[in-house]
Amino acid sequence: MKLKRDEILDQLLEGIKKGKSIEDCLRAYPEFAEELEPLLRLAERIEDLPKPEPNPEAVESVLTKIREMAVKERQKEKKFSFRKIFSLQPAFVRAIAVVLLIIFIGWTSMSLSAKSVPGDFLYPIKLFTEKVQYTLTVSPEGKAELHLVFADRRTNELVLSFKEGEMINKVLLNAMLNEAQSALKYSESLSVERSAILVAKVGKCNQHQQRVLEEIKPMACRDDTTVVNEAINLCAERHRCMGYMLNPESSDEQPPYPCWKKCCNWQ
Amino acid sequence: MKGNPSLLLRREISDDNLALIIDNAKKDDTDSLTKLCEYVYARIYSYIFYRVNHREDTEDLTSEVVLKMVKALKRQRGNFKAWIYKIAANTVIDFYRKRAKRSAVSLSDFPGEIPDKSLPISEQVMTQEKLKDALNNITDEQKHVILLRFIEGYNNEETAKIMGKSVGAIKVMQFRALKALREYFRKKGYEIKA
Repeated sequence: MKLKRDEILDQLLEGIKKGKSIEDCLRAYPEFAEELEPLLRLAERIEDLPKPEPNPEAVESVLTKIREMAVKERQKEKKFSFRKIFSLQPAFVRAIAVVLLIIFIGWTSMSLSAKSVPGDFLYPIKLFTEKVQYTLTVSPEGKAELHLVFADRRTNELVLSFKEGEMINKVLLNAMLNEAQSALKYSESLSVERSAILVAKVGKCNQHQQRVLEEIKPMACRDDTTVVNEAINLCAERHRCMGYMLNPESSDEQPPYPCWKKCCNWQ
Repeated sequence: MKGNPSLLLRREISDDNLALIIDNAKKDDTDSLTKLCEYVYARIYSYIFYRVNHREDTEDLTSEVVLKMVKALKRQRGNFKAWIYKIAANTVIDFYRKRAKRSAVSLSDFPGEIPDKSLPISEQVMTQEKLKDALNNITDEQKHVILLRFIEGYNNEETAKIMGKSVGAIKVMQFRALKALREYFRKKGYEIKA
């Protein structure tokens, strides 16, 4: 590979540093000798120049100033020992500050998003928080409780986002009814007593949803009447079903008995 | 070094020892801080010497650099040498900037500070003054390379780190700087012979 002149010059300078003479070095590159020889001699002359010597008094004067500064700094640090802790561990302090900032931002967003409704900027954060909460919950009872909480939230959101004469938010209506249904799935994995409590809670949730839908119905737009009626009927059916599940003997139901798995699905 | 024996530190501190001294100086160890100041003073002195015209200015600016270093040492991260030469370069720039402002008011306030470039270099001996004069006639980066490579004695890798360039770029700059200096000397009638 053909070397550039700057690389050849550098090689020759290294050779001279190792004790070779300029003539010896240049023998390897006779074609460049004329150009590079004056440069090598110039570099040699510069290197041979006596080093500028600082005045010892000037050095001592600086060192005295620095010692005085160091004493003053120490006195300051004694007064502000808290500050010293921070100056010794800037990376640690920065890490703590970042973590605290993340916690603060997270907590604030979560708090603000709790009151949000569909269409709000923070609503996706609310749904995401719910997903995280649900994923982190291990027990079936806990998951069932969360479904009920979410069902209640969707019901409130439906009321808050509803405007007289306008279309009902169908996505929200679906979510509201499905959350209640999902809570009931966990009743089979619970003990008889806990299952009964859960069924009772789901029953109350259905009743509440039914009442809310009945209040909305007269104000809803005509196109939504069928959907609202279907949802009200479903809630009533579910409520009847829950009553049977809680007390099959005293129920005045006639066969075929209502079964929540069949009759409570919302399409 | 003559005069102050402690300034022998100039050539004798290995990179590992220097790193240890810097660490201890950051932890307020007075001995290490003193050693570091002496080391930096000796190095920066010769660097600034070739960039300003008066010995008094060299001393003042070197002291300023060392004091700046001490004040900012605890916040220093990365390559120490690159950091300290950056402080030195900025201090010299500030010095010329201030002087330019003052010169605009009255040039007669500074008699003799502006080098007389009309003087021919007749003596066939390289001197500090000749080199200083020639360095004023090449680019700032070329000047930097000459000072670090041939006055301070850093190798290509160290020079590259200090200047924040690649080794290849340093080789190119070194070649161009020597050529520019040679050209300047040739014009001034100073022939470099064996």
